[in-house]
Amino acid sequence: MSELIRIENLHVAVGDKELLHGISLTVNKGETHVIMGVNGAGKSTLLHAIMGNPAYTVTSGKIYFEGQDITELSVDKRARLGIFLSFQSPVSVAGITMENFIRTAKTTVSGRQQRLFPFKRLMKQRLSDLSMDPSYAERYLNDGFSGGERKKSEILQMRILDPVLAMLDETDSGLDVDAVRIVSKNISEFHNENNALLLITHLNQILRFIQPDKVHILMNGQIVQTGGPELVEEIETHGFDSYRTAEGM
Amino acid sequence: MAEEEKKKSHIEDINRSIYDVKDEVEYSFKTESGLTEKIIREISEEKQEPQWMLEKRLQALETYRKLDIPPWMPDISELDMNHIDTYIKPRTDMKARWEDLPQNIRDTFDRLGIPEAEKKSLAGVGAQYDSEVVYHNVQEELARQGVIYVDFETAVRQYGDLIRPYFGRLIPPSYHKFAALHYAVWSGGSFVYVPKGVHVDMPLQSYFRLNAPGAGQFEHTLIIVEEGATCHFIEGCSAPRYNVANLHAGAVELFVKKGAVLRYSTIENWSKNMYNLNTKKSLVEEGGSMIWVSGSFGSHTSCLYPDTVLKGDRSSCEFTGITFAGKGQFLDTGSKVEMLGKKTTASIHSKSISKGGGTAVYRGVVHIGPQAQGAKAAVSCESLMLDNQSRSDTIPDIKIENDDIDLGHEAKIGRIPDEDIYYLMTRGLSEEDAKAMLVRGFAEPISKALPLEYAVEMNRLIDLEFEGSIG
Amino acid sequence: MEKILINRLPMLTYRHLHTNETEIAFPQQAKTADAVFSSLALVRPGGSLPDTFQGASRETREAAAAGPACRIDIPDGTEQELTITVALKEDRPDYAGVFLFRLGKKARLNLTWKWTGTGKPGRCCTASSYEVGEEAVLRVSKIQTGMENTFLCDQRECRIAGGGQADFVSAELGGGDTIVHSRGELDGDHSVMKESLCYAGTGRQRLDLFYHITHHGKESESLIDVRGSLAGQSRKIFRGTIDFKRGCSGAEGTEGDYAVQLDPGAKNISLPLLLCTEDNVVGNHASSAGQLDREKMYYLMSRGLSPEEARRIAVESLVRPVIDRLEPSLQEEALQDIRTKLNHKGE
Repeated sequence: MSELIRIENLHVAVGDKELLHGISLTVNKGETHVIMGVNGAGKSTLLHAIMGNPAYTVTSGKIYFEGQDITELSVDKRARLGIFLSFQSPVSVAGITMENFIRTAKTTVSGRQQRLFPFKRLMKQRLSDLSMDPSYAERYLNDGFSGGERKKSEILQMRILDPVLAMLDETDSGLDVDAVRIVSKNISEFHNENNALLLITHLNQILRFIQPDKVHILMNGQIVQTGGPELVEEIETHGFDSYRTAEGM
Repeated sequence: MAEEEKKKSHIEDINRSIYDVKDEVEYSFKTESGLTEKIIREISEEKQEPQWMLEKRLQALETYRKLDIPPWMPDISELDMNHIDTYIKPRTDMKARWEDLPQNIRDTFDRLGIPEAEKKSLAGVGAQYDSEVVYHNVQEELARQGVIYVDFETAVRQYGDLIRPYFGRLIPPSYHKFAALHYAVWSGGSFVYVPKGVHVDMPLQSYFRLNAPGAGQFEHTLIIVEEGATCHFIEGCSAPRYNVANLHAGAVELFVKKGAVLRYSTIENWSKNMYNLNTKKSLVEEGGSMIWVSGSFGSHTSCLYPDTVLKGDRSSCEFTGITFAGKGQFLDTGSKVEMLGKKTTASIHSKSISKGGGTAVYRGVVHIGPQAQGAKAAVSCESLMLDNQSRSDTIPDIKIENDDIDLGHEAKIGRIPDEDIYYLMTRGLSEEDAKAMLVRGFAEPISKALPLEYAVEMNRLIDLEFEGSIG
Repeated sequence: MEKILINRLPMLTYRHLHTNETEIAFPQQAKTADAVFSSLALVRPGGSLPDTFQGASRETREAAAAGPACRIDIPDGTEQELTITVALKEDRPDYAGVFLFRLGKKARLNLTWKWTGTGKPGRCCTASSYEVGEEAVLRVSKIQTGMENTFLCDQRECRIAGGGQADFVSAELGGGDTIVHSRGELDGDHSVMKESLCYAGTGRQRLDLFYHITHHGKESESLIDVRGSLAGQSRKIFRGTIDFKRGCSGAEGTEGDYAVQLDPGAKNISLPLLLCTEDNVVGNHASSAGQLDREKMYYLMSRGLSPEEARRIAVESLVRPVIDRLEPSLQEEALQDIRTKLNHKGE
């Protein structure tokens, strides 16, 4: 299996405050990794650091994507390499339709002009895959969307932009059981041996549908345990308490 | 119409009885009314001032004569400078013990609760009676640490070299006509010096009492908070009611050095014959912070806009103000912020209440200069109209000269929402009680910021004002 | 060149920032272009401005009044469409004129203004008076582009009777100095006046925008909504006043001034006034200024958009609420012009 992303001893800070204290992680193509941990452990920070959010500063360590050092690369360039982040709370942009926006994004990410009618067909198909009404294409980007609609909008974008690394930040929270099933089905359909998934989940709802290859437990900005799918069950039964103790808390 | 009237809220005016007691006091020196070079020379001589100060006064008189009254100001045509006594010296010297003051002056401050507050919660007190400071005292421990807290005359005589470079630097006489007037006839006020790294934990309070009818009060306050030091200063003002106009034209100059913090709280409760044309300005250096808390309740006409110059990088200021304009009052208040340093922040919260034909104006400035990259400012102004005989205006001025900034401004005007009154009434409150409670709720965020626990006077003031109607 | 003072605040404030009014160079007028009407059936030449008409200044009012005047009356209960086009030419780069609109009871008028022209320096001063009768509906859409060296001064005053509505939507995209001076008198109960405007300042463009809406009628309603971006050395001054007069019980007024600053040289001044002598009103003001929302830019860029594209999208999103209210046939042109201007931003 070939390596997709390799993170080496990553330290990340916001302002003067260090939030990640040396994270190392490798994700290969075809794999699904899950990061678990209590609120404030640094899970979202890690995804934003990989995406290149300028609000987070990498103080030391490196991020390699397909062998290339991307630690200093700007957000849009990372997106064009095929990195995608489904936001926990996506912003809304009034005045710009979903279709207009995703088509513009697809053109930049793929480097190919998206012809109008084929794109409309693709959009329609993907909306229907997510049980979303075709009229969403004409709605303004995330504007006036409910929490659940926003999550679906993120997955819609993921499917159309077709990234190599898809990072999903609590995509399952705020969704009802049916929606989790639909979203999970879309994620499974997206996933293949040439791409990888990095998931954050809180409620583990999504893990009823998606089988992870590796599970990492993040506590206080550090990975304290890595294991297989069995870790999920362990956490479900015992919670994070044993790791807290291990950390001397 | 009667029905309409009945519906109006019954928030009472401030109970002024404790402020309105007039003292029979003998004065040892009183200038003629009006403003002439002769009067200024007399004041200076009476104070045995150095020559530089007399020259400053005379220059200021020239400036005063040259400047016009700003066209935006409220009408002050009833204020006749020829009938204002600019200098009135009570018949007592300055004392460091309340017991040593003449009985009637002492009684006045007792009624206002000042000596009691000093014992409980103040690190130092200054009390000015008409033109002169009659009492000044600071805790020995602070004095040992090098904290200076004296009346301004003493400061000019004893700390002339320290004061001279600061006096009139922030507020020059040319700032506006009433600043010029101030420098020509200033008398009294306080000087505070907090040395590097010293934290004055308990507040210092200066109280200004204007007793004589037709008089003016022109005190000068200068505070220097050196690097890394902190200080909380409280200023209280009151006067009994007369039928002739009184004038207050003080000047407050505040210097907040690198990393220092100054909190300046004011409770102004002048009587309703007072023209309060006061000027306050602060200069904040790198990482320093200036906190203003300002309550304007009294006076006939007020013009008061504390001005903060955020000169140093990462310096900050906060302004929290409330203005209550009742019958016959025109209170034109607000704040000015000049953001010059990088990453400076300003947050301004102003609330006003207009009632019984009173006028409350919020007038403000936020100016973000070309070099102030990363500056952030948030302004909110809320105005409550309690009836349709009153007036409330909001006049903000925002000027931005660089792109790397973040500014938000919000203003709201209106009355107490009917739904809110309804909601409280469903829980059994009468309409009046509901309104009174909502007005208190409106003022609560600001009254909380006022140093209530320190001055009994302020406690009474807020309580009387907003609880008066609840039986 | 003669200097004049324009758009003086109805309630003055401090003098040291020089924001009470604007001093501006007032160019001479040479040869004027014509106003072209889509239909002449409604237009009668002649007439003069009401004595109470104020305008941005005496000079600009007189300049407009020196041009031809015409009356446009919409009879009671009828509905009309009208487009007025002024295209400035190389040899006729100026304009002056007076327009007197009167809408009868329950009349409707959809009015479109189109202004275009070349880079030839010029001066345009118009003065329009709108009288909106009971339950009449006036909709005005205006677009102006190009004319980057023209002094444009649009002065309008609108008086609205009971139940009447006036809705002005403008895309002020062109012009060198663009001056808007709008006054509204909400005389009647339930009368409504809305003013929405978008701009995209570039180069040395200067926008001087003045609004003063006065509420007299009960339950009257007003909106002032100004949005745009400032690039290069451009500057915008907003002076907006909502004035609640005693007796306008139940009135609601909202004003908003939202600007994004794209370059360090841009200047932005905002004076949003609320004046009030009636308690039973709701008056709101919100304004924001600064760079584009960082979080929004990050989100857009995380989908692969370059900083320039992300900026264009964010600016479009800001002005969209105004564009969407323009007459549909003008919307695409306004958007295209903004895109073009943002691509050459700062030039």
